[in-house]
Amino acid sequence: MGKLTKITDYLWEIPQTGQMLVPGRIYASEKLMSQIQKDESLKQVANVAHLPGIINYSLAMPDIHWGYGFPIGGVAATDAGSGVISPGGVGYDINCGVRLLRTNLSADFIRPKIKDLITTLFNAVPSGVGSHGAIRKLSRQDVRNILLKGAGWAIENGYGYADTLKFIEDNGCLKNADPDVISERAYQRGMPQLGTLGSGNHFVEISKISDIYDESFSGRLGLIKGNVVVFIHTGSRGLGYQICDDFIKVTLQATRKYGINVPDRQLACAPLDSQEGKDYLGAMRGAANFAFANRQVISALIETTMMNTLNMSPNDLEMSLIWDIAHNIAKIENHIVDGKQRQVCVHRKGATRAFGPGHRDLPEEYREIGQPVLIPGDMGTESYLCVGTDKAMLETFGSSCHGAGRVLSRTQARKRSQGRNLYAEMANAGIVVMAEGKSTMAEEMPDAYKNVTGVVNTMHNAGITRKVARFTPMGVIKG
Amino acid sequence: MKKSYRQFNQTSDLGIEVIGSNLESLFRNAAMCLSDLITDFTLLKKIQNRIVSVQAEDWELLLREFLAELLYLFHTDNFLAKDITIIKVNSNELEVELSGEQITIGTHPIYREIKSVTYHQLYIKQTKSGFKARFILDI
Repeated sequence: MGKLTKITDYLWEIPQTGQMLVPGRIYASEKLMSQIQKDESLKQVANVAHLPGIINYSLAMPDIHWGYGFPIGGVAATDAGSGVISPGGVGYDINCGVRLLRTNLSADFIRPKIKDLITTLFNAVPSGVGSHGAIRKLSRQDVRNILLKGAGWAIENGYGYADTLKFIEDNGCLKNADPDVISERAYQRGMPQLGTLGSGNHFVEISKISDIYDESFSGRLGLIKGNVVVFIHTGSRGLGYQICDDFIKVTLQATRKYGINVPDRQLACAPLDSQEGKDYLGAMRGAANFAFANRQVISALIETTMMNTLNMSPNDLEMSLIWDIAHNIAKIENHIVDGKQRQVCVHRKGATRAFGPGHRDLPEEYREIGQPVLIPGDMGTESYLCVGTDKAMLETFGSSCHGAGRVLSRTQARKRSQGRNLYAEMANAGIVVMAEGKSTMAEEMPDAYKNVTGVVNTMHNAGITRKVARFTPMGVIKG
Repeated sequence: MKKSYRQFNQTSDLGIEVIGSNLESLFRNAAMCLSDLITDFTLLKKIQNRIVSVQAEDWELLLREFLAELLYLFHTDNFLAKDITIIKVNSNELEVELSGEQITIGTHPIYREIKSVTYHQLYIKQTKSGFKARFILDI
């Protein structure tokens, strides 16, 4: 890999060397870059630059860290005609994403009740390994309908309200999903899991709106300082993992068949205009729709549980969706490249779409301010809502960061947690946590993550996203 | 269980190195490692048997397929292996009998969810004392 050079205070470049088709570009402050250089993520940025049809740069956001294939925080746009699609550029948890719900409740009202609320939510939203049973067991036909309809299926079946859909990326449904290319194994894994959180870094969090940076924007988003919001972070569960696994095998064959050279088997890919590429895109869209439906069902479970626990009506609670984003996804989008409109396939692996103001895919309510970008931090610190900018459209194919990004491996985190009572530490900080997995607390401890504020400020200062509000956690459910 | 594997630092997921005196023991140890990462291995009992058979193009892909198949059994049936007997193995094909049990989540502790077995930096190498495999598990 060539020598890393600094372009601006917040942007770095890996030169195009060897078989790389474009240079790499990483958004990071000096401080973040010194952390980033400690693992193998920059090499992964260079590896992604080998994908046929990649346009402009292999990009990475400041929460970049060493993943498999793509770095986490990686963005790559390939030409929709002559380029490839890589399941490794989406990941196993297809359409892992975040949604943010506002409520009418004040943090002061909730604080004395937070322990009860987290306990009831922990019971209502199944979490942990193989979590299931949130709703009735689905039939194969139900799953097929979900793959085609996404969050709309959940609404049709009584989980939420129709006016919610416009506040979900792509209205909660990617068109042209193909349920016929999805394996029986994936169907079987999806049937018991709708409405479940899963494990790892997935969570439900009750937070307080602690800072507003832009009053004119926060008003449009219905954010009131001191009020309570709910974050949900989960994806397509076992159905998505199975589809990714199935299609890496398909694309490994395709990589050879079409004579494609990539430096990592996890970057296996297929031309977008090949049958293998089209099949993966159709299957991936189905999994993305399952994830949109999953977060929609979980929202409805949370609303019902909060109303019951707090003895409130829907009008008292006034829970409504601010936005729902996908951060593991590949999308066919139109972008301006070298002054011309071009159809591209944007892979976002641990990166969030961040469309700027005026984009026609945004609902009317947000068209003037830009797309909300949800950036949760670790469970002990804070999270942010930002909005996309015109500069994001020019530089990053309308993309930004997705979280704090890990800095410690899970092994290092477990070592650092030894002899510490993390639950007590969180309680001392005023945060109630319940976790299902026995290693989850240690592996997901706040020390394991970068400082989310540094990540968010990098994208703010680089002009890619603009800060609107900051949230601090009050109660967290981890899988 | 005498640890025949170790975790190496990988930022997002779990990096694993397994050793074995020969390829059969390497595959066996990798399977035991997977059970040990998911639950308390000492509590597992040999109550049921399952036959698993996988095909792949080389030893490395065969190991990944095998581990992915074990993970599938756990995700769909809560089954974890305590021991394995190799029935047939060559560089393209593996058939094993697993002895283990369908665990009850709650009775058996669950440490973490492993989403999948990735191909990133996957390798099997011959060493002075046998074989070493390296793979990364998606968490």
